[in-house]
Amino acid sequence: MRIVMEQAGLTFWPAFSLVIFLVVSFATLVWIYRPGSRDFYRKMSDLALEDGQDGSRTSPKTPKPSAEE
Amino acid sequence: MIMVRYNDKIVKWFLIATLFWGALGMTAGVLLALQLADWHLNFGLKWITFGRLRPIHTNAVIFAFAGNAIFCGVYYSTQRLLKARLFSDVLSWIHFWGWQLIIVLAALSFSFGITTGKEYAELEWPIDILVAVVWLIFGYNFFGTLVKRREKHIYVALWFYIGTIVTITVLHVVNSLAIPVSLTKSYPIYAGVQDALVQWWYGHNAVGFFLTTPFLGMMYYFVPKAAGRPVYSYRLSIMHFWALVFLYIWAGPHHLHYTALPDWAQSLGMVFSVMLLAPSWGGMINGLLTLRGAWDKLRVDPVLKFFAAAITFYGMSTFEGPLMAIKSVNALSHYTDWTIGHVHNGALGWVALMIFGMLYWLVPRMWGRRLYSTAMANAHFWLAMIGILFYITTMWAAGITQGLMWKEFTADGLLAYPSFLETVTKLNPYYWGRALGGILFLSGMILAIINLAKTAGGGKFTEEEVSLPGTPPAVQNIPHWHAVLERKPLVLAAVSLVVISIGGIAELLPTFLVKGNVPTIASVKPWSPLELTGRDIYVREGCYTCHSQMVRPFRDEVARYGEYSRPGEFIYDRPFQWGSKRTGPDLHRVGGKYNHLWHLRHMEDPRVTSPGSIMPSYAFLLRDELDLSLLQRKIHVLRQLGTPYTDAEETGAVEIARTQAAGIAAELERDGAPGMGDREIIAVIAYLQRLGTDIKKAGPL
Repeated sequence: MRIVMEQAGLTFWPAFSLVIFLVVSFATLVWIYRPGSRDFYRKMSDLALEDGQDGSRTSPKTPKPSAEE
Repeated sequence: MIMVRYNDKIVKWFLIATLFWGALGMTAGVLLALQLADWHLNFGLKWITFGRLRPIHTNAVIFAFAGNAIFCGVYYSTQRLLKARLFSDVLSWIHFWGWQLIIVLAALSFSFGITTGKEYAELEWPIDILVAVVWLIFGYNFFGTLVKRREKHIYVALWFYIGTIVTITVLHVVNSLAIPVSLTKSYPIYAGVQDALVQWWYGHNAVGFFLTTPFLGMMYYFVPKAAGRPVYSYRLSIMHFWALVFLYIWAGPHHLHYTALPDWAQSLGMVFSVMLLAPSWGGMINGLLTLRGAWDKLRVDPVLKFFAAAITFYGMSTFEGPLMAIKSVNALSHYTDWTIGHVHNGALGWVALMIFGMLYWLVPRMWGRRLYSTAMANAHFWLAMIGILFYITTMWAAGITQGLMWKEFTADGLLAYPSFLETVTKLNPYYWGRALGGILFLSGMILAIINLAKTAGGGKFTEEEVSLPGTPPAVQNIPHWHAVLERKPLVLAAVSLVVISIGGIAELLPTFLVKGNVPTIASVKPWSPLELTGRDIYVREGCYTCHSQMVRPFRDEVARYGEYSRPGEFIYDRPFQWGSKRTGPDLHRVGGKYNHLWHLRHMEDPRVTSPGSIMPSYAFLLRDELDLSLLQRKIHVLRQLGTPYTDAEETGAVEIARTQAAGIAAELERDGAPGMGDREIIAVIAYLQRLGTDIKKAGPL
């Protein structure tokens, strides 16, 4: 590997890295906008708000607004 | 239905630790700011001189304040997102007390001068091992909770946590590899250029994966909760995650522009730093737009105020970072206070404000009581904002002033400010302004502690308990690859590891394998035993926090300091001491510039030789006896690492050191400073007088 790297040089390295990034990014972009994915992502984005959705809170206190004098 | 009681006790203790260490870490920061404004505030105490106090401050705010906040936020949100109690209460407590022990050991060791001399990785090897163990316990507890979860899908916040755990493990282990000399001293396995690249690969990504990704995870959980709205775009969050973890890892070399690092690595670091703007701003936009429809609440809800400001600062600092990574901008900004301003833009604006927003949201819920005082929280917000404003604007002004003064030439082609001290004294008003900013920010923090303590005191802490279906939800049939990742945390962790490894390997491997990256210079020889001892004292005192050892290939630097630095000059430097800030001048070519007595008097009282200097007094170096007890062992370890010392140099190390010390002491005695032969100052002088001189023996390069 040392010999390959020494003989090939490293000037192409930044451009090569950029190409890898752009290819992977473009592929991810295509995937996340695939047909029929809208509902799935809508459901996923609600996860943070669903702490008690599958059950009900039973501890004595009730969540309150964060601040009030 | 089954009852699940979340482990909120551990969240509570991490929350308390966040406030406690935050106040201490910021107090240390304010003292440092004041020390730069007035050197008397070093109080002549070696334990709190600037060089020793600075790592205490940075480690306290990064690993103690932000670290405890991360564990607090991660443990709180993970349990709720997964609808499961933490995997193990015992591991949680070991994690908590282990982390606090690390913080205490770190503070003590730095004040005693026990340090590796590598920024943000100053902990010596026994504490490094403890960090690794405690971090793995955290990881095990986190992944264990993922395994026992009652929610099939892994919400995006958890990906950011997974990315954090995986990457920090890799960074910490790779950067900390060292051979011990004793319990309190080790030498890194890397030297010079390679050590610099590994260190800044670590340093930059510690910012990325300790101060960014976990807080982005918390943003994706707490901001929707506070706003009562789902994240603006889940698709954008996926792009944000993968692009960020892929790109961040490449950007480290932008900390080493125009240094002896190979040019290809610098270019790589610059290009990826600029590209990093895209995912960073994608995340910022996603965070801010999550507040859509809730903007009116900003007027009355301090939580949202802190979150909105934090995300805005995230946007500003992630714009400023890529800007400063452009080589032509970096030529001006690097080594100046602009960098300090940028760091605090992110640390105070993004990290701290996110933490305060989270704490103001958490405490009323965990103690079941409304916030004690909204007015105090609002006052805290404005104190913080004005404090940050003072801090970063003074540092921008100081940095640009400093950079321009260094580079200015007269019409005759001479340096306009040939004395470095002119640029130091010019900055004094800015340093007072920065200290004021820090005091304002700390005052806000104290208000927060009072407000949150009063809130907790008026309520009753209970662990939240929820009832959940008796069996996990049915597996959903979602036919695409990312759904598989979202259900399988270990696969997600493995893919994350691959993604972050690409950048690391692509940069580190060629630097290690291709010999042409570091051309050797025949005249560059290992440090003599006495010089090595002096170098270790230089590292111990944290001289690198104010002095660089890297003359960049600029006309002004060559005119001011001498020949620019070559990669081959650092091959015996373990650790490298290039530094990242020039509060004082570069020292790479200081060898032979002054006589021994000048160095002695300068260390004793810097104002004697350099009127207007803000350097602390190092008079204790003239009093403390030189300790050579570890010297032979040090030479042995360095030989193991490849430094070409001979057998005679190893076995006779102490004798060789004493002989060289006697020579320097004789000259000092002749000049009027007797009795220094067995003092630490002798070793420091020996080291400084050797710095950058080997290349002069090489002839024209």
